[in-house]
Amino acid sequence: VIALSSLVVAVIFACGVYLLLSRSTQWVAIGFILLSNAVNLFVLTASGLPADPVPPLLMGAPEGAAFADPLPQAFILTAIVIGLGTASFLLALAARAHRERGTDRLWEAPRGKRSTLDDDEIAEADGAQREPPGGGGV
Amino acid sequence: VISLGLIIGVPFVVALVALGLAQHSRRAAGAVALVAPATVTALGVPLWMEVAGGTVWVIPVEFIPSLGMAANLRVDALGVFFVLLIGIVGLAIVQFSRHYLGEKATGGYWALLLAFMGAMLGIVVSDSLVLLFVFWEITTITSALLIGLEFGNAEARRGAIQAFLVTALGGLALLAGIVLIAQIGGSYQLSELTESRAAILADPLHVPALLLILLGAFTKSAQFPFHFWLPGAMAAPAPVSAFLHSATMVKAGVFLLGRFFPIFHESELWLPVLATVGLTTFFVGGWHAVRAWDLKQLLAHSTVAYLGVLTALYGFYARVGLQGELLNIMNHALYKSALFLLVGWLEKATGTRDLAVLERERWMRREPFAAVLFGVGAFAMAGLPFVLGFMAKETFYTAVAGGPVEGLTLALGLATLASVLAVVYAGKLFVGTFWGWEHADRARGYPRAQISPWLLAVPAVLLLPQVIGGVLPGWFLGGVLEPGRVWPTGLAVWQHLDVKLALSLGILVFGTAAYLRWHTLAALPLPPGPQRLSEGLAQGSLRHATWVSFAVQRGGHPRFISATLLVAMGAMVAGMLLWGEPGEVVPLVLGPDVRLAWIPAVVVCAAAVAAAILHGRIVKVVLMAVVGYGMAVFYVLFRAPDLALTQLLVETISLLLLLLIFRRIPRPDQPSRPIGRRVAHASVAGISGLAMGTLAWLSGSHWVERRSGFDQLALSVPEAAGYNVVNVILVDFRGMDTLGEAVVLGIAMLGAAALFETGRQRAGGGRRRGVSASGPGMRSLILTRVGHAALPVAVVFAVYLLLRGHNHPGGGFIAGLVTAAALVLQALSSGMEFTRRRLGFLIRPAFAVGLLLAIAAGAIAVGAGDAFLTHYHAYVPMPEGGYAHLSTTLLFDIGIYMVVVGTAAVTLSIFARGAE
Repeated sequence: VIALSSLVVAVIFACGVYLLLSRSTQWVAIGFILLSNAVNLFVLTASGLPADPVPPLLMGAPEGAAFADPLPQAFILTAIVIGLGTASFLLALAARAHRERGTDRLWEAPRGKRSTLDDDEIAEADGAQREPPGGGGV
Repeated sequence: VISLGLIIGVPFVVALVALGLAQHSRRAAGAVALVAPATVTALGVPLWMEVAGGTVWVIPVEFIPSLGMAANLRVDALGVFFVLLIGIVGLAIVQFSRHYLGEKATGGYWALLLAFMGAMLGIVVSDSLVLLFVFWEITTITSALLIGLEFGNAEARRGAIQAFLVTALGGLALLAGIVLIAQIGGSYQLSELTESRAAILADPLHVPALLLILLGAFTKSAQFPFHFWLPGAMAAPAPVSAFLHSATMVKAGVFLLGRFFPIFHESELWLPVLATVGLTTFFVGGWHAVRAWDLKQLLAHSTVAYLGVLTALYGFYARVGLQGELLNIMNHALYKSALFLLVGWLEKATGTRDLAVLERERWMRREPFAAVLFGVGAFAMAGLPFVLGFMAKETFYTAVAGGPVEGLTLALGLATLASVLAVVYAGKLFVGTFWGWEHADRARGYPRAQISPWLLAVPAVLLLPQVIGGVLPGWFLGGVLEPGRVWPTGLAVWQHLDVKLALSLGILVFGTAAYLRWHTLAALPLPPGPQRLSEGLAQGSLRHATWVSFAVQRGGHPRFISATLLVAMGAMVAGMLLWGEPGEVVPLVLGPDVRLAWIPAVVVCAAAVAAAILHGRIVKVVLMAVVGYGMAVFYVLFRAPDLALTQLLVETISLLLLLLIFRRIPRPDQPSRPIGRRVAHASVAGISGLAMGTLAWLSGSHWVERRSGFDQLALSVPEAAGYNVVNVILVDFRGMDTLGEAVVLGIAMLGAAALFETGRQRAGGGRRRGVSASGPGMRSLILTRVGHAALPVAVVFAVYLLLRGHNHPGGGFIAGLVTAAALVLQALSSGMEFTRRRLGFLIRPAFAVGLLLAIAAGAIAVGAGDAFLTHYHAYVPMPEGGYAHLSTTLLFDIGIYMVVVGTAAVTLSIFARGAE
């Protein structure tokens, strides 16, 4: 399982990142959900598994059984639910951004060149950077 | 303990109150601000009575006992002396600010000023170096903000940035020094370090520790070569300058020297370093003060000079023992804050603080009272008789000349020269300002009626001790300031015809002579100093920051995320390569269940890749769901039934959410990414995926026997009477985390709701004609029936899951998701309107009630005297025999359940409703 799930982690993570890098908020949202799946599985995989594992349920467990580590499971359980909350926020943001701007692009192609660095121009550049209400960094 | 807590706490609390109050009335905020320093002073006086004789109390406060860190407080003469100084000068500053700034004193001003005061007080009563450092950094930040208060002004901005850069840099050095000395001495407590000082000095590592700590003190106290930030910080309003640069901010460095003096004074480095730096600063500061034409700049440079004196004094104390160190600190704090305030007044009264103008005009006759005050201040500055400043200067000479042989050495020479300069700039301040040959021009300043008399009264009160101490030195010093030490009493102070008196006279004579020629002195050219360097540094760091943001962020989020990911992955791989222990070489362990796992693995990988590549929207979403369900299979293989359940439910709900939202957004309208960018993105994605996968494999293929989770396995039944360890961890062992998570969920929900609701109001009118979640056309009879039937069944099932959660797979999260999924189903089939009409009154408050319930469950323990979220359980016998297991964890879990239901339902209703 470890080897295979490592592979799965790699593939899903890569696909998630690829979608995350796209310009459409919808794709970003999907990528984000994939990515959180990948990270959850990563944590579980990295914590390993004993040779003949038994779920961490103590009732009725055989004597001397090798339990799976419950701690990462607990972490991931909360992470899954949080992921749902974050994803729904991201989707709300995408819908709102679309309503405000009529497009689901996260950003427009950059126009300005790198300029000399006066205060004003820095401020201007700051403003330009902040303008698109994208949720890419969530 | 209580009064110490109040001393630190009151300023912060009052700061908040003033901040809130200022929105209604700025005057009221100012009046409230008076409370803080008054309280501090009132609490400080009785403390001073107890510790002035040299008693030291250390009050243990636990912080992180497992790391050996405590937030111990300390009450001793030095600390309480500073408490009083900060309180009294603070009181004066607040009162002055109220009348000087008037309506210009915003809530932010009061809040910053008081927060700064609180942080200073924190520094002086900390025994723990960690605590001290935290407060130290707070002063750095708040003081930079205070300096840059008028941020519309470029000069203020520059001064603030410079001050921040220099002192923050010093702060870092201090932190390094503190950690180093704690490593050597084995403690973060000053009191314990003092006891083990012999061991510390024996360790060669004490040299870098000492130098780093001194660096922190020197930057804060504006010692050469870091002296330049202080004059630059003069852009702040007069009361801020007075507070920062007389009694508090810059004194923090001197205070630090006082704190470390007992530990380090026997070090061979202490005397030479401190004496050299201090005396150089004394001279350089004095030289700049002589050259200054702006009175405020003059004061700033003279402050630098006096800080040099204080630093040098701590150096010389290593030879002659501590004497009169409090005297010198107080002397400077009182006269310098008074002078800063007086210059503030002068600016209002005369309309300028430029000596080139004031020198010519005769203000003596118009403002005799102010002239007297300036005179007292200048006397103290020059160290003339009949003020406290004379006594202070005497102790300085005694210390400098105190060594047995090296009496009249280079040090004394430098000190004398610098003292001559002090006489010169004191003369400039007093004589230059008030005497002149032209008629004083009243038209420039404010009319006298508009200047509050407090602007002169406050400095007068501050200068009072100067005169009392100067005339009655024996009573003042012996009775009030340092009762533990022997002082000459009465007139005997003046009756020593020795080297010191001769020195004083000589300095006075030379100083007066030099004053008459000060224009010539001021015109001498000046080599470029470290200021140039620091400006370059500040410019450079700004430029660098700009460059980085341009390079990383210009291409929108893809570039930004790529850069972040690549750096993170690079660091991770480097970590693996450099420090990763190969361990025992594991034969290629595929782990158990390989035969079972390859099917879902192939499916999931294929779905993920297809989701990334294929274009159709629905296709992508469905494939994403396939991946999610595949995850659930993996969770089963990893023996995590709770996770698998949760994953299935979450995946269902997010699938529904995505589909709902897609009805509102058209398909992406843009062409896909150009080929070059696709390759670039694909390679970023590939690299990071590869790194993650490798790390997962490397880490996961070692099964460590002794792991953190196993304590919880072992403790679960005896401590929490639960058999499902994952659930026990969630609600019991790490209940606080879970509570925090519930709050995060709520915040996400509120955020989503806010994004929708605010937009709706602006859109207006659209609400009514909106088609509900599933318009009539989409309704199917079967689905409607199923939806209605599913909800009660799901709720019953959820309750079942909830109740068994402690011992079997289940629990609040899962039960909540089941209910939410049923709600979604119903909403989809019957329309959101229907669901909201029937159940809205229950769902809306569910989140709040649930959160309160969870907190209440934790609070029961507090009521019973245990830590928050300690759970209790009991077996209650039932009438039919058998036992019901009741526990407060159940209450907590019900709370979590409600939070999840509320969040999911509200989010859903928002998404569905907004479907117009």
